[in-house]
Amino acid sequence: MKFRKIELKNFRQFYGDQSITFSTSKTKNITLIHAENGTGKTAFLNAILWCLYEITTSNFKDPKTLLNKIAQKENVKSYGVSIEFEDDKGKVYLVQRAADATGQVFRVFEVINDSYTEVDKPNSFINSVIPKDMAKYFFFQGEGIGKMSGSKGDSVVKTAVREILGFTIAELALKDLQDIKRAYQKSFSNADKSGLLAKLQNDIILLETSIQRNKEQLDKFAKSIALYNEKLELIEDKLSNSDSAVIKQIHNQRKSTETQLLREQNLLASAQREKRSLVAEFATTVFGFELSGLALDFIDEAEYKGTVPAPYNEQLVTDILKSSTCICGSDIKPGTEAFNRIQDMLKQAADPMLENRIRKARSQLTSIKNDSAKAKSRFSNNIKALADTEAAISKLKNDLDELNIKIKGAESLDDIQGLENERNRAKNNLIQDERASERAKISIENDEKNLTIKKNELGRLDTFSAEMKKYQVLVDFSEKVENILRSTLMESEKDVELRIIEKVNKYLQQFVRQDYRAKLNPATFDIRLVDKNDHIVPESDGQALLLSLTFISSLIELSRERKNAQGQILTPGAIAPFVVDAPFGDLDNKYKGHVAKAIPDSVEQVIFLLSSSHWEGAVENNIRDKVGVEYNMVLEETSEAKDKTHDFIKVLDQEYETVRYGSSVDRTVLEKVGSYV
Amino acid sequence: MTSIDKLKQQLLDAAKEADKPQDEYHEMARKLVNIERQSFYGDESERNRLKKIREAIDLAVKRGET
Repeated sequence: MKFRKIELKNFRQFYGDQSITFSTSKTKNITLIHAENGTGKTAFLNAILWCLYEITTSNFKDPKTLLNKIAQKENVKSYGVSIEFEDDKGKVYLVQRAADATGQVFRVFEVINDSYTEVDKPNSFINSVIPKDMAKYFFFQGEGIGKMSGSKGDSVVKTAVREILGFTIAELALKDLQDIKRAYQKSFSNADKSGLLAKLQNDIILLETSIQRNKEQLDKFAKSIALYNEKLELIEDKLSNSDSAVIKQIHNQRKSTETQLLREQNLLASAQREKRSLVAEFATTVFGFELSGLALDFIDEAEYKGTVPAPYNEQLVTDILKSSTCICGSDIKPGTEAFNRIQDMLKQAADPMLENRIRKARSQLTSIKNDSAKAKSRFSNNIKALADTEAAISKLKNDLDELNIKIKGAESLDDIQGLENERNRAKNNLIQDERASERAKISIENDEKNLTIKKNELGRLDTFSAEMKKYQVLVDFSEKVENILRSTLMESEKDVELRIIEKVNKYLQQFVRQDYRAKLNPATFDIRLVDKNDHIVPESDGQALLLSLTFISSLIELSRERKNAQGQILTPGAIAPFVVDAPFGDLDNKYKGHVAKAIPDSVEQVIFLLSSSHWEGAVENNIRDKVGVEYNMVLEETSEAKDKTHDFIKVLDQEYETVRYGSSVDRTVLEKVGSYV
Repeated sequence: MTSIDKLKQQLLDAAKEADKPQDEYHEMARKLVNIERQSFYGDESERNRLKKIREAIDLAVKRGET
């Protein structure tokens, strides 16, 4: 989408009818609007936002009073803005928003050969071209921009990513769906005349609510934990680089002690795990050791006495009796003394199965006995490891306490004490939040287990009335849709997380001369500059602005890439003009040049609103070839110049006044300048 | 049509295919977001939004039962 023309009628300082025709050229895609401070850059940007969405930027003062004051004095009541644009297929549209004493009119027309056909549902139409949520990134207020990083900026980044993806709408749909599902669940309970199922259903509602609440809490904890960790990292960096050699030394000692402590704590945890596994592995050995000794003694003694097992086999005796022939070959007839004696031998003969069992028992008992030696050695090692690490931890903790006292005792160094207190507070908060986060995780786990049980119970019951069945189907259906919405949002956020940082780094390479790159904290969505050693770079205002601009450029690029997404659930992206008011505020000259050069390469149409301090020098040199049309906002004053200096801007070696004294009315006029006049 | 154009077309078709709702639940999710969108952008009264969502779910469930 490209802007073709904008017309302003009695809108703020733009008295009467004022217009700008934008450059729609592919190669010369910049429309440059020169405007010194106070002439109307911000009002112009807000005219676009107001016309398309009836919104204004936060730095736009008195946003309810849009009618030009001179016009108002002349008893003119109407004001308005109209924008003509072409879409990606070349179709032309005219958007009009006008207001007078009776109210406001918002209309959109499709323009075909000077004939105007009104578009149905104009708000939805405009939002399908550029969604309102994304507008502030395309129509961008450079001066009002805050940091994209740091404790205050983190939500800016997250919000921006979500808005570009169209999360606002999908999340509202999710909330509505949850409300409706609750209503179905309640109707289900109410339809249960017996009251048996109502309790189950109510339990389900309570568990789902609790899971939802805990998940939200978990998100919050993850963010604050990440913030505390980052804060601690910064404090550690400051202490490491302290001007005081003593503090520096103690701090480094403390850092090393903390590293050792962490290592010992890990060793302790591992020894404790080993202890648990040893108990599981050798429980039989430990408890069966004495028993195995006694049992083996008994077997050995019985063997010695020839009772266990018997010296002859039961099968052999039975075979002799059956065949009535002794192994020596003599006959043994039943009833004879020899037969009776041999038969008596059966009482003591060994059963082969019993023999087998005894062999197994012996082997088992022998292995228990042998294992005991192995168990003893491993238990001894484990006990030693536990004792050693516990002792080391205790010593290191004492060392740390002493080092902390030493740092705190640095009375002459107030800033160090302040840092130290801040560090302690951050550490305590971190520990508290980590614990709370663990508790929330356990609650979620338990609630989810219980929820599955309750749902299974509900599923097993078949005493539903027809009405209850109806609501149960509705609940199930809503739940499935809810899961789809939820997973779509989650997956998209993860995907964008990766893509956005890749893009920010791509732009940074173009913009920044130092070897910096951007790093995204996935918990807070906080983007920070880091050096080649992965250390956070304390940002100057210029660097913060630079990071913001790279981020905005990345968002616009992401939006363009998502233009063709069919938007089943999330809003498709948009291709739109980048209208940017005072983007280069705190940037030094080189950065300005790099950024100014890169922006027109990354978007289809750029409208720069620049004061002379923003554009002279590096900016002009880098964008001159790409400027398609150039305007100047001239402040017309009824007062006489008298001893005031005449202000000019120089465009292509020609001077143009920025303030015109002795005019008929106080207003801002838009005039073409440069070689396009 | 060159082979690159063909490939481009195939990729575009594949992207379109991938964007099609996979089942009735995806279709409903899309519908709900559209109802929400119309209400959010002011072309649809907010009061009607929940009613419309309920109607859409009721209809989808009834259609699934028949």
